[in-house]
Amino acid sequence: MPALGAGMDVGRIVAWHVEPGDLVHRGDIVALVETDKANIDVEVFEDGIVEELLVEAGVKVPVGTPLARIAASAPETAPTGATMAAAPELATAAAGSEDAAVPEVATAAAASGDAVPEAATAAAAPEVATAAAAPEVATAASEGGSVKHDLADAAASEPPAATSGALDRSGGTSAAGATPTGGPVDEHPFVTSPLVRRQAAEAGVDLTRLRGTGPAGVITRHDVEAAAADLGRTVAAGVVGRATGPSVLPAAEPLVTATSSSPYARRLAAERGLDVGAIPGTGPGGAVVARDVLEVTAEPVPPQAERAPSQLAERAPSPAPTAEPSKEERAIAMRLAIARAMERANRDIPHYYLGETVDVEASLRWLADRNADRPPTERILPAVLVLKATALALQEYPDFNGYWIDDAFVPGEGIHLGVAINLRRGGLLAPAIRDADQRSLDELMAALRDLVQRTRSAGLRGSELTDPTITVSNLGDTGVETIQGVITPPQVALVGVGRITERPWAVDGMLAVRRTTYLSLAGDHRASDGHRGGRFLGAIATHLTRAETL
Amino acid sequence: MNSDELRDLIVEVLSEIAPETDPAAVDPTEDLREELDLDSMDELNLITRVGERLGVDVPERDYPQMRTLESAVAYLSGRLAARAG
Repeated sequence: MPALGAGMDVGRIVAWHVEPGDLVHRGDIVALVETDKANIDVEVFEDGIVEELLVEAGVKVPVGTPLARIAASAPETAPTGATMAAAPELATAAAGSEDAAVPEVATAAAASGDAVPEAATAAAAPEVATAAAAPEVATAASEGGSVKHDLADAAASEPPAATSGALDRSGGTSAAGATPTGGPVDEHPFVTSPLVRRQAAEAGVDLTRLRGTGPAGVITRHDVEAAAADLGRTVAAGVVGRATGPSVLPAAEPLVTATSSSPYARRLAAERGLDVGAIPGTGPGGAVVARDVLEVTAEPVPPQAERAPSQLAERAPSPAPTAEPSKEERAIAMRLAIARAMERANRDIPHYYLGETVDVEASLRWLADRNADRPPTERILPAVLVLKATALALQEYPDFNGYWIDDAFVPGEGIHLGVAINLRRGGLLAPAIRDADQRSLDELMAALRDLVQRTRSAGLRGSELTDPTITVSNLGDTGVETIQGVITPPQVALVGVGRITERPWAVDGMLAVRRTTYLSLAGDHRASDGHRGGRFLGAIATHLTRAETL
Repeated sequence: MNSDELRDLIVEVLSEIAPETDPAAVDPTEDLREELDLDSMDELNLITRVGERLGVDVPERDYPQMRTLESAVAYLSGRLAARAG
């Protein structure tokens, strides 16, 4: 159950939109969840197959409860969807095996005597799935030239898959259940490098039980190392290590090993010199989770320990490649971090407040001229000028666009403005307009109209509630003149806009009447100080006075 | 369309925009934004939908005339009459 708002404690599934066996893609809506504010469409954050729905519709559960188990298949790095197409076929073929897709194919490939399938990878059909595996392979191949024979032995000794006939060798289709085209086996997600195979063989790690977390599902050195660590063994140093995933995520680890356990539990066990396989598990499906490990050593369970495994069980950590983490991996890590931050009770953010009255007469006249020629459906509201001005100012002051997590500022992936929308039945939601700095005023207006409509009726998505990197609160219609807002954790700032009012204004020593608005900034004092905040606010004001440049 | 029909139309549109409210019960001389807690997006939606149904384009400078039920009915009557005439 995701935290869909700061302070949300429980949620109830109103309806499931998927069943076990369904193929899901990142971003698909899988359930409708009722919170105390609204019904929210909850999305899944990775590709995979629904294995089991763990919570029934109608049941209220605390935030953090795993809702479903999804067997993550290889990430769809191939435009042809070759790897995606492979997964479902294999899943059905490998009934009863928890790690559905990978192991059957892995052993079949090994048994087929393709000692160096990865070399074939480079020479295979131009499917991008193989190209994705190639870089990883190229490096290892150059170093593992002499080990091919060893690998052939190791590979041949692995038991052949019973269901080799069901292997889907689709090479170019993207629909689930694609017909085999007899493409080379190297297109499948289990492909690994000769060096990694050798390391696995030496450490006694069964490759068939691993799910690769490298690009296109390649089993990486880190996957083998992690599995070996579980078994209390070490892996011989080999390929020079490369950076793993973002620090927020655990390092690349298989989701399922010989003894089912969460990555966090495995790490805790390894730190304490325990064999995680020997610990009784109380997690989903009998998996060993962090509190099980801590119970063995009779340690108190910190709140984070209980959170982490459920978060990870609910949403499998994204594959962390051995290269720089990709944008999407960082995005997923960010979502996990945000969810954790929001799960905690609203912590005390040390706020500071700044404000400035802005003469917006010129901008409003520009807007009026622009709107005069347009039908109501194409007119832009003044609120949109504020959104764009804020987005542009954030480009110049990115230290206000992001999150305070674990005692550090984490910049947002993009400028996603949370727009405070009043719910007439009481309450407030602030879902995001993503990449606001990239959108024209017309596009922002359309997005705002759509967001308000869905927020007040139905169709708001969970990701829209967790995406904001800052919130803009615009009570400026008939509301008060000034706002001293409360920042939504884990964001670090809130921009407030007051009512537009006419007031006397000094212009070149003469008295004039101008329409003005009061802009305010609430800042998290851990992330920024007043001087910097003042400059940021000034940048918003400057942009706001030049509507024609927005 | 007479005044009562115009009033009913406006109330109907307001019910769509703010379903949690009871637009039929508002004081016709009071600002709708206060009575029904409408913001600028709601106001724009009101003007857009009423305009579409009546075939009347309400320019921004006339928005203030749409802010109470009473003045809105009067304003729209005038626009329709002008168009007919």
